[in-house]
Amino acid sequence: MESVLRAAALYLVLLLMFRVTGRRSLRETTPFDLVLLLVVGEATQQALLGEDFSMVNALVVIATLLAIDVGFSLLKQRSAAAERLLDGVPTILVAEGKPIEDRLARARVDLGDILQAARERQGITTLAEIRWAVLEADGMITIIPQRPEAPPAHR
Amino acid sequence: MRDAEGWPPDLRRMEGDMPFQRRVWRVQRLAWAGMIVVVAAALAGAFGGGGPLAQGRQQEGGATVEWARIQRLGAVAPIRVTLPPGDGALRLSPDFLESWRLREMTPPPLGVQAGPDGYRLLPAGTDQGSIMVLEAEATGWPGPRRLRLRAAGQDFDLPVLVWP
Repeated sequence: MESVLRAAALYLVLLLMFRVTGRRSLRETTPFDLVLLLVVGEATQQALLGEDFSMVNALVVIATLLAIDVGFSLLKQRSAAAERLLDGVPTILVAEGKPIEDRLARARVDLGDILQAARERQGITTLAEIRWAVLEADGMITIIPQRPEAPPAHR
Repeated sequence: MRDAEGWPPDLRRMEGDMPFQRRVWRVQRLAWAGMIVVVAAALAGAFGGGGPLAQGRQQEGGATVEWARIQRLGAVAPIRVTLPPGDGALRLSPDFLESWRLREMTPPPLGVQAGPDGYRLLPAGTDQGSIMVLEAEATGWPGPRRLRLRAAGQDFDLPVLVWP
């Protein structure tokens, strides 16, 4: 019973902490982010398993974590409110070619991040070529380029 | 929220979620402040593991007990008992043994007598008295509990909070 309670409590605490930390922190996985995640995993391992390193305990902990994860995915599928709460919602950062400064600040994203996403995914190098930029719920930035102008008519 | 008239439908829907996103940002900032409070409280010892809030000291007669008022389940915390010369026995009540697992005693006692009223430890001391450090691990369920022991004929009933 203790293993199930430990795993459930830790799942909820981690979910809450990563949710309140925000998308920006893990948007692009830098080598340091990777190290940070490993350290978080190492710190939670002992709390998950206690002093019981048996196969049965590992099985119970893994089954509990996966069951909660599946449960939440089913909940999100059935409830839009739960999905918004657990996963977050996309945020428009550039609208019709104009950066929305207060949203950029609150989302802890700067124009450099948007231009980096534009370069990587669209081959775009200037802000003027970006029509929309959206910070997705998973932390990725989607770029929608300006519509190409209609070629001039030739006689 | 911006005027989304004329925007593509999917982006209009996203813009409709902005009031929710603004609430999320507010909650996030409050949570960051909460995390700073948690770290500061941990430095002060509010979650055990050392720190000024976690340390307790009580003197009764010639005996002194220093213990961790705030402990963590499954973690070892020292109980330091200073005994006067003479009747220097240390008695651990049965409920002590239900709530803590003794990991180590330094120095090892000269003798241990076990009975229905708990353990009676006879410390190795000098003419000036003795000091014994018990390394005890909190077991059972988290929450408030009492650390009860008898040292040099004096009863100690000490409060302890155990975090999960």
